[in-house]
Amino acid sequence: MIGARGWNRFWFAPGSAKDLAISRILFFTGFVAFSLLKSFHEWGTIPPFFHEYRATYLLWMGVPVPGTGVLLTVEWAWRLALVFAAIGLFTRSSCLAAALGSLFLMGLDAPEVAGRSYTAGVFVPLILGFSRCGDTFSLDNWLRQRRGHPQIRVPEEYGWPVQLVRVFLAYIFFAAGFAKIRYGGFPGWMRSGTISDAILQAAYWYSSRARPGTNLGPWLLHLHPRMGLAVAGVAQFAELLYPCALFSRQARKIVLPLMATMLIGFWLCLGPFFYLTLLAHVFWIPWSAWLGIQDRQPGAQESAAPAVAQ
Amino acid sequence: MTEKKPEDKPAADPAAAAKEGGMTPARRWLVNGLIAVVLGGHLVSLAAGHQVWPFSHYPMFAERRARTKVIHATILAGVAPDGTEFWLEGRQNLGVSLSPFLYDDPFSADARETLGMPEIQRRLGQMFRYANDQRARASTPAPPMTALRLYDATWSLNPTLSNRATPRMTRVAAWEPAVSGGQP
Repeated sequence: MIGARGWNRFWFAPGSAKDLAISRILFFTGFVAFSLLKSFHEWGTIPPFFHEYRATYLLWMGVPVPGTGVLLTVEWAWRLALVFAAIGLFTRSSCLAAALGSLFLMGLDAPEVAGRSYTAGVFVPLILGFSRCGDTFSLDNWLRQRRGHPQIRVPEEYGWPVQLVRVFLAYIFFAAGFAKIRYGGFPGWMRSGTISDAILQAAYWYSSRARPGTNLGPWLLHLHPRMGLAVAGVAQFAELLYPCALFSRQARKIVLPLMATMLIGFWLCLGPFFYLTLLAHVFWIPWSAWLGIQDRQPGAQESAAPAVAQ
Repeated sequence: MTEKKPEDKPAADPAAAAKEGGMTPARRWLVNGLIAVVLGGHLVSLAAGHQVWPFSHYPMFAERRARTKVIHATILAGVAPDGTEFWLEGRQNLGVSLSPFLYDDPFSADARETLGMPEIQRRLGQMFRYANDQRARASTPAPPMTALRLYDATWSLNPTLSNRATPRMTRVAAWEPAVSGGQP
């Protein structure tokens, strides 16, 4: 029983509808910007020998790479779903459509070798698709109010999506830190020079999908002979300690800014940019407390009066 | 005394919450199922040390490699109408989705040995046509390439990066429409 109670306390603690809604708006707005920079429809014309790099699940299912026309249609439908999710129109369906679109389009884009930075683009919309993230600050809610239908708020419904996104992020970083122990040993990986070599190699040629845009990495390595060791140490400890942010407010204040800095640092020094993973960090921020717009009492009904009349 | 922030509120008793119109048991089961899928899939990936995207164990830069002072890469180089060579990279030549990171493997020494040079030639021909299409479609269209060459490149790593643009290059194969034939 203690286990069940602990499970419920961890996942179903009351949350703020406004925190969830603001996080939804920010995440999907940033995702729309990301989507406009991508051209997944190019896979319709890319030489077919690259198609073997599509997601394993697509290979297992025997899903071929469609032509450019089909891909363009899917791509624009996916972008529309992202916009609808951001403004909160058909919110749940839009989130689920966005998750499916990400799963398919990003699945074409060589995800097994260069798609780890995409996973938040699948899982965050999926999680929100099962949530009531459109209960406030959404067109759905505005339309509901115009029709005179009150929105009953259930605080438990607003805690678990935020918590699940946070746990997903904690998993990503913990797994990355754990992999370094598994494949490189502890503290062997940190002391192996792997990260120094990777930074230097990335400055020469492609060690990921993109080249780093700056020479910051080699410049940092040049500052001190042990700089590579320091970067490796900070990276691995930040990754392994990230889950502490789930349980400790003090840890959160250190680990989250540190990890955000690390993600930007990796982009500048190594090339891969975990933009969507970074973007998902909006779910850590207690927006309503920061903005002074806390929810009403749990279980309260939204006014049935049209928003314009308030 | 410090004021308690909203997220410090104690968790509601689920039974009491249900009486107040909280989550229904069915809804709670649905959410528990979602949690099981999202976390379960990842934990299986972590335990197996194997990725089936989008589930991953995130082994970025985790392999411990012997330190090396050289870097090897496969480079495709286009030949402009004036005979100058340029490395095939960037949006203008490859579009948004491809990059040298992705073409390294299908043209690598391993691929050449496994697939044989006729297949590599065929791939070069397809890349030649794709890159020329991209160049024609680019926001500032570039003249079509006259040939595409495949090189093995080696750099001696130098923290000053002074030799970044001058690797040791060994030509492995080339595609020239006039020589290699028409359609790849």
